[in-house]
Amino acid sequence: MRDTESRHLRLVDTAFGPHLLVVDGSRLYAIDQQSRGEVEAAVVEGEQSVRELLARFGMLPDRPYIGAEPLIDPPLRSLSLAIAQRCNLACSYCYAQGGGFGGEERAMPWSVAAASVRRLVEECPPGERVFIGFLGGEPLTHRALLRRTTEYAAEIAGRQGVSVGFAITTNGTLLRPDDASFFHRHRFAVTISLDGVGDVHDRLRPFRGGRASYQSILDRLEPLFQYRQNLPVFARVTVTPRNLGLRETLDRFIALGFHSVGFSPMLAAPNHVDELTEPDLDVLLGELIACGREFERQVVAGRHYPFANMISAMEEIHRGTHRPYPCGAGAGYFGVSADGGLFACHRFVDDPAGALGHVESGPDRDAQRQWLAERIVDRQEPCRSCWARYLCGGGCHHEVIHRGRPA
Amino acid sequence: MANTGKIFPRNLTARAAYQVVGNPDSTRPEDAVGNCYPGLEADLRNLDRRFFPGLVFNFVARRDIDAPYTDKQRYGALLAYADPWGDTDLQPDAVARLEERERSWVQPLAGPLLAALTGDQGDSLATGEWYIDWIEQCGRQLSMMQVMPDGSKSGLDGLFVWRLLRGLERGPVTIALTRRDQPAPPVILHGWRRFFTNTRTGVISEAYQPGELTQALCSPWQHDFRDCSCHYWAANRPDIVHVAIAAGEPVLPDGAARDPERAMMQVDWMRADRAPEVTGAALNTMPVNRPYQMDYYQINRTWQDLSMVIGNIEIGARYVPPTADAAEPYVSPDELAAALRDTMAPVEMTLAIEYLYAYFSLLTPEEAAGSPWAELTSDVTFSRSMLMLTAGSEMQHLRWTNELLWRLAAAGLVKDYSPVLTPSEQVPCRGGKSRPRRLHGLDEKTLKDFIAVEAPKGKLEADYSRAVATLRTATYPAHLSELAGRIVNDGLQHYNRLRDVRGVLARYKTADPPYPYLRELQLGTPAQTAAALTAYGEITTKLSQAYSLLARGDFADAGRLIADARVAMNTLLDEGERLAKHGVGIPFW
Repeated sequence: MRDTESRHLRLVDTAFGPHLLVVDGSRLYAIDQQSRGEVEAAVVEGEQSVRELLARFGMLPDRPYIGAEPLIDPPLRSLSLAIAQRCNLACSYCYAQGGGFGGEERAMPWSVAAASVRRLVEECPPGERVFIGFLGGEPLTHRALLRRTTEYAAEIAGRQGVSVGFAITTNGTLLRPDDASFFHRHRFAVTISLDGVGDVHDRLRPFRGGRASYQSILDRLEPLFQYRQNLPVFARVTVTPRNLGLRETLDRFIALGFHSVGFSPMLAAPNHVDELTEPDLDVLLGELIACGREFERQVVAGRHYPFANMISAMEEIHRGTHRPYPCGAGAGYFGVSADGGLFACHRFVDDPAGALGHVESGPDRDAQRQWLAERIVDRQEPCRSCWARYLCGGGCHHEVIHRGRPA
Repeated sequence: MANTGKIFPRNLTARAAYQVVGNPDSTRPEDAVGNCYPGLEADLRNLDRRFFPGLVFNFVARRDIDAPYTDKQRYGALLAYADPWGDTDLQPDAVARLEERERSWVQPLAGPLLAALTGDQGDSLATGEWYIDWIEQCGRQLSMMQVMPDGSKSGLDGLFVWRLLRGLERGPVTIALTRRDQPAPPVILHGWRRFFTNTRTGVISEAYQPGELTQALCSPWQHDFRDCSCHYWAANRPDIVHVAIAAGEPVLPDGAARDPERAMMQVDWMRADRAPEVTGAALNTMPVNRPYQMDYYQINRTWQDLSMVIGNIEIGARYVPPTADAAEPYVSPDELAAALRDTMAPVEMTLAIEYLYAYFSLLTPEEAAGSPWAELTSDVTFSRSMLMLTAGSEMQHLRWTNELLWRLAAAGLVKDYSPVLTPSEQVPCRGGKSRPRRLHGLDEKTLKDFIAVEAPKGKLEADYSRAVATLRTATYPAHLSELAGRIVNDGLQHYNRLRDVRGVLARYKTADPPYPYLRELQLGTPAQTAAALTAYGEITTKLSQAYSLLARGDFADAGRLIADARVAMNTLLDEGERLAKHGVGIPFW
């Protein structure tokens, strides 16, 4: 049986009866069989009937939740700093191509980091919140700058009544015990890139000389886990054709003590190495469903099971998250290159496709408007007619621009 | 499964958008009328009485804001009761569920506050009359007491206390409670200003019991309808209305009676005796109408006999909506623009000026005060106010006709736009004729001319009706027809206002000497009226520049010019009044 769906709605049959997702506003309703039949009939009849039905059900708002117009000049609230465009690992698929993003390896000077912090905090009204993420390359190769920048941001944000959240994404190989206390003090969210257990990880994420990195990372995580209550440590798994055993990885990482574990498919690598092919994507889907079933089983039994992809999907469905973009990239969020260039996000660093200004001069508003006008999900194919477009937002810009929408 | 066509909103967006079957749009919270008045859909004091987790207060205020402080010990935030276990926000599990950024500072406060309220301090609050003595936030302390002119101390009026509590920010708060009925050590509590809504979901705190937030809501079948004095009755509780139109009675296009006597008469909507033959006009003020209104027992029993009111007219047995006249559209955008540019806008400007001139010809209430005519003061006050409202409305129409023109140009339907700020030399009157424009005091002929131009089915209305019909066609930008439609509707209102003026001035028909309400006004010379004419020139110049800018979308600069024009308008009004006192009228043309 074909699923009943249109660009306005989707019917979902559950153990608790039929449910109707109204795409506009991501509103979810439990409906009875009679209404379900009417929805099915309307979808067969076409767009006009669907709209009339929604109007009759009182589900057609006066004004759509998401308008046709793109976002214009959103305020800047979040920056990720590529403080070190260099890395000590040699991951096969790295979007940063070993940290240099296809160019020379380099480190961010203090002047760029400080200017980034000032731009972020000074544009923010008191009482609001900004976020600074440290990425790379491997940010811990430039630890001194990371700490100086963090302390500077905390100081000027505090003066201005702005609250600031910090995050770091690290490969974990350079962590020291005093990093844990520093991260704890500044309430960091720490994400560790780990692609599997033992050998699986080591084949994808070796040191530059080819040496295995897994055990060395695990040894260094212990001081972080000591602060477990107040220092969330996430595991982020990049899924390639060589680590598709998601269920096992998930359970093992949860057992290690991660706050949550999330999976991201590798769809577009600069060198096309380890990209997922279409058959791989079928395997991935099967594995994700298996993880989801386990999540259901555990949660129904009253146990915590921090499968990040599932938790955020559940939260978004519960809240009725609806968005015309997949993320804040190029909107309220930019990636800053070591030279101070503003790019749509951390993945676009040094990529002309996502160049949107400079920290000294601020976002290039013309380029940003064009970006936001082009990237809005209602102008994407095949998204504009997809029932899930406002839940998904159209998929990662970086992957879509470089690979399309194979998934 | 039951086959009943049932739909249940499940997630948060669906729940927020859900409209209960049978409830009209006006029942949604965003449509509610709310401030601090009892009876409104949201009396915000119902929210703030639980501003401090674990405690519930009542705000004790004087009868109204002008009343004397007769009972100094009673005013302020009176503790109704302490409710530490019943208050969900105070429970450890609720605190644990807060977002990290709130939990970090709430958690250290919550445990000790719960302990205090369930321990000795809570015990002492259980008996006696406890009031908030002071509140403290961010290092600033505010007292809830005041020193009276005679040096005595009094509790601050409950309304003022509420206003101060309303100003608290979400964050830690310390409060001191003192017992007023007998001496007792004060109770000092450290807590926080409640999160009225969940920071993630926007759902109102579960500490509020069902019905608590609407507990003061007025009901028509209670005494509230009779005692309502906030004039905010959510579903329209008018004071005075026009009586229902009888079957077959001739009416104006807006539904009002064509008979001016009937159209003018306003009756008390809540009159006790509702028989048509005994219904008389309502008296001037609420208190004098009071004896003739339904009494408490009557309102309880017969509130449903009160009439529905639409457009200020009571609806009888059956409501028949007025029919819209069909007008013939202009054949082309150019023809429409020509009519707007050459006729409608210039006529609006001439009318605005004629009405203004007539306004200056009327005595001020101060000048009328000594007159032997008892009603003269209120009659000139009324007539002046009606003329000024109508003149202002014509000025607004002048702006709208210009806006129609520049929007036609912006849509590429006509070639270009240049502001129209020149008064017409002729004004349409009855029977398709016209008369020369005329600056004259408000004598009978002038008033008759004014009524004629605004009359329904007159030339001016016909022109605008054609404009509406034209703009409704698909060639034209959406919403422009609404702008033209508003001018048509206003025309009817002008007509009714001017007829009302004629009604109140009718009593002076036999006066001798005639026109006791008029000043002796003669057209002045340019030299005599230089200041007024300069201001007038300034108004037209600035408006012309502003309209050009508006046409280009430059709202900021246009706004500044319009503000300048307003200042010049005030100068013109002051000058006009000063000159008129000396019998000099402004020669606008």
